[in-house]
Formats: sequence, C-alpha cells, structure tokens
Amino acid sequence: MTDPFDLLRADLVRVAAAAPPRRAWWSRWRSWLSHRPRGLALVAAALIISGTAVGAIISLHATHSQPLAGTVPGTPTRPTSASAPVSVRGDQYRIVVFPQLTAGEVGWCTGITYTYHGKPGRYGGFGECGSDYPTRRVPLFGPEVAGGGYSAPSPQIGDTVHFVLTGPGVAYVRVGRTTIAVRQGDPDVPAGDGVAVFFLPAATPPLYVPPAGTRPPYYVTTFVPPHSSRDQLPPWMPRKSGLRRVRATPTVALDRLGRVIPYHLSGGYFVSSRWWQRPGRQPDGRCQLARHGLPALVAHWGHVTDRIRAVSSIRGAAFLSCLSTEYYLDGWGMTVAVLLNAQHPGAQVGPMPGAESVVGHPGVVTTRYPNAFGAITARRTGEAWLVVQGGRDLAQRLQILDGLRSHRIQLVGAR
Amino acid sequence: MRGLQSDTELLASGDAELFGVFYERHLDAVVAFIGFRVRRPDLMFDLVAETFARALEHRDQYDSARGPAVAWLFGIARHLLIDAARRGRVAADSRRRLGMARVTLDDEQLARVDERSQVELGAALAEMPADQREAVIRRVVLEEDYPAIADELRCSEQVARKRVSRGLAFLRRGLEGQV
Repeated sequence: MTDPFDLLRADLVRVAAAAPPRRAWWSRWRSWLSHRPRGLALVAAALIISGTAVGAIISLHATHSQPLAGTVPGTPTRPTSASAPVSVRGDQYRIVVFPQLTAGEVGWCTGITYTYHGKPGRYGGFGECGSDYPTRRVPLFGPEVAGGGYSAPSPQIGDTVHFVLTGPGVAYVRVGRTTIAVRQGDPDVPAGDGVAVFFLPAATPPLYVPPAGTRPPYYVTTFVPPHSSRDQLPPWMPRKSGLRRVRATPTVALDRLGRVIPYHLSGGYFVSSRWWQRPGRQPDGRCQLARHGLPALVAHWGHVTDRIRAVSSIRGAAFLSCLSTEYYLDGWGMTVAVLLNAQHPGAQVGPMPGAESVVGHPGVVTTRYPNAFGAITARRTGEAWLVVQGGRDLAQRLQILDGLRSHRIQLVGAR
Repeated sequence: MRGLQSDTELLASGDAELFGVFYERHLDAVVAFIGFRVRRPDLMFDLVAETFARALEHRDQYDSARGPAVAWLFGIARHLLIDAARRGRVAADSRRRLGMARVTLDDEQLARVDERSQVELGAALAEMPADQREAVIRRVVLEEDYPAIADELRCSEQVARKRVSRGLAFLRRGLEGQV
C-alpha cells in the first residue's frame, strides 16, 4: 500500500517545482534592468528614484503624533444594549509599552486601555506580546505592524486609536495619505525609539505595512464572524462571513527627508528555552534565582534558557529575558524574570520604559500605569533587571524583590 | 539543516523540495485539526490536500509577523471546512489550478487516513504547557473571544490573554525553529 499522504507530498513537490513563488516587482525590475544597456538602466533608475523622492516630498505635510494618553475625539455614546454598535468616542485611552518577559525572547509588549470617567470603557483594555523590536530592516514595530494580533479592538462607529512604534531614524509614519510626525524621546517608550499615535475613522480598513518590493493595492485576509446585523461589524468588514480579503491601509516609515525606509519581514528572535512545571524542579539555565525567606512563595512553572546570544541587529534598546518563572503568593500570581541588555548581554540594561523610582527603595522602579498583564516593578541587579509583573500590588512586588536574588547570570560563551 | 529552517524560509524558497519539508512539519497538526471536525476519511484527505494546495498557491502571502504558520494553515482549513459544509463538497480549486492529480483512495489507504487522524491535536502541541495549550486552541482554532475563554478556563480575561500570548510565542518558537 502506498501512504496517501506520501502521494500527496510528492504531488505537492511536483507542482511546487512547476510554480515557483511569485517574485516581487522590484526583483523582476532589477532582473529586467540587468539585461538592458547600462545607459538605459541608469535613466530608468533615475526616473524611478526621482519619482519616489518627489512623491515623498509633496506628501510631507505632517500632523503631529498624538500623546500616549489622551481622549478619543467625539461625544461619548453609551451603549444601550450589548449588541449596540461599539464606540470609543470620548473615552480616555492610554498606551503602554513593557518588556516581553518569557525567557529566550527579546522585545516589547504593548497595551492600550480605555476608560470613561475613571471607569473601564467598553473595551477595557488589551495587550499584545511579540518578539518586537526595531532593526535597520524593521523600522516599524508593534501590534498593528504584526497584523493586529488576535485581539485588536475594532470599534464600529466614531474614531479609533492606532499606534505604531518606530526605530531610530524614523521621522514620520505615512498612513494611507496622512503623514504623522513621530513622537521622539518619550520616556514611556523604549530608549531611542519613537511612537506615532493617531486617530482614524472606524471605517478605515486595517493597517498593513507592505514588505519591501511589494506594490499596491494591498490586501489583508480577515475572518468575518457570523453576525445577525451589519451594525455588529466594523464598517470596513465585508458582510459575508468567513475568511475574506479586504483592501488594507498601507503604513510606511519615512526618514527626516521623507524617503521611504523599506520594511522587511522578520521572524523575530528566539533562543531555545526549556519549560518546566511543578512538581518538577526548575532546570539549570544561564540565569538562576535564589530565595531568601518567603516560604509561602511557590514557583509553579517557568522557562530557562541554555544560551544567551547577543542581538546585534537591534536599534534602540531591548531586553533579553534569560529566566522567567510564574510564582504564587497568598493566592496572587506573578511573573518574575531576569532581563539582560539584548545587544550586549554583559553591559548594563537600559531604562525601563514608563517606570519611575520607588521612594525608599534605591535602584527599584515601578511602572506608572498598569498594563493588561499587570504592573511591573523591577530592581537593578548587577547589569540586569530583576522584574516582577502582576501580583496584588506594589507592596507585594517589593516583597518578592526583597525575597529573591539573582543568584547567577552566566554570560560565559554569550555571543 | 532543513529542520532548522523557518517556515518563512521554506515557503519563500524556490526549492520545491522545501515545500515538502514544510508539509511534513505541519501535516500532523492539520490532519488533527480537520480530523477533529470531519470523521469521513475521504473528505478528511480531500480537505488536507486542498489546504496544502492552497498554502502552496498562496505561499507568498504568508506573513510570519501575523502568527505561526500552523495558525495560518488552520485558518485555511477552517475556511475550507465552512465552505464544504455550505456547498456539500470539498473545494478543489487550488488543486485544479495547480494541476494536481486526483487521488482515489482504496480501502487500505482510507484506513491509513483514519489512523493518522487519530493524532490528538494535543499531541501536535504536546510540549506546550497545558494551560497555554488550551487557551491557544480556544482562541486560534475555535476563535472564541477572550471573555468566553476566561469563563471556560475559570480565570480572568487578563490571564487568558497572557496564556494565549505566551502560548503563541511558545508555538512559534517550537514550530519555526528560530534559533
């Protein structure tokens, strides 16, 4: 008997050989150019380059980025029923950026919360964690760049809030036909990075950062859930349920002269890590914690890394987590992690975005605003951060920091 | 070395054999996903074949930044399942466009398909911590919203989001072999 799945594999490989992946227009153009006389190639290249530059300069009537916290334009409409169209008009929003804590990973998580007169708004808040950080080839990052994750809210009426984090060298972000001047030097975003925050009508199709070499029109695939009324969907969604392709809103990074900074797809950074859980013991890794007291503190599960590898491509600042453990104390769960300087693991880590010093606790900082995964309190330990996220309150996180020590950070062999 | 190549590299490569590697890497997960919903082995095989044919046809559209390749494949499979339920037959559009052979399965082969589908989805995600695994399956595969997941898992919405986020990172790391 021949395994039908082997037959299928053979057939797929056969047709894959006959239909190679489509090449990007730039690649095709370069190939065409390489077969033309040098003079023609230079003229064609000059036309394309000058056309791009003129287009960019004309569009540079930029509006300023909104702050990381503010009020969504419009008069609030309080929902009259659970199925009423959702809006964030008049809500106060706050965007937070905080480090990815899972061991073996590098990058930033983001979150946005909505409140109305101090109470949770219709959306409450959401957070996304990814291996997100800027490099020369990845000038933009954040949940919208990564495709909105799985939980980005989609208000159905009024304006919506969007944000894109930017690496050093990005001066503007162009969204559709609107150019936004990036907010630089904000202490609530990672050191050296910027952010563009902007409002868009709810009818605006999803943002899409086109990879270098692709050309418009751009589409994204979205799942339209079954619905009983058109009002239950954001206006940009097609009516028909199922997987649908929708026209996207191109979003690109520009330098200070208005030139497009190409964006390349990136798989992010991961090093191998090992996962463990009770009743097993935490395996040895490059980083280890020691406990002093706190008998009620119980480690439930976590990750340890066996390797520490410098991420030299990072522009701006980022942390590399070399240990993360989920602890419980008095019924409260929290994550403890050891964060290193991702570019130079032996060098001192950069500042914790959005954090301020804790009075009476030298070297300890705590985030000013909560995020979807819980507030962060951290203490500098040698060149690293020892971080506690979640828990009951600041006092409990301080208690944990006092009870744990970064016992070992083994950088020998780190590359 | 092939095992270390990311899904993005496998899909973007012009080397047809590397699509075969991609197929091998994700076949169990796709069979388990479809087998969870379709018990007839002939339909199941048709759906698996069309899922990979569609992935092959649209491989230039896969974006690793939007999630792991297995979630992308589940999305394709889910769409095909919905379409098949509505039309009463499995679409063969991609296979037809690509010129793939129509496979008629004999009894032994049908038994082989059935046997393969016995793989638990959990086995395909075996190394993921249990709480994260359930959260990821509910969110990515079953497309439940966070309040519903939190309700089912008897945890806060915040914890549910955290489990999904970490589970996806775990899955991506494990499946894409990004070292």
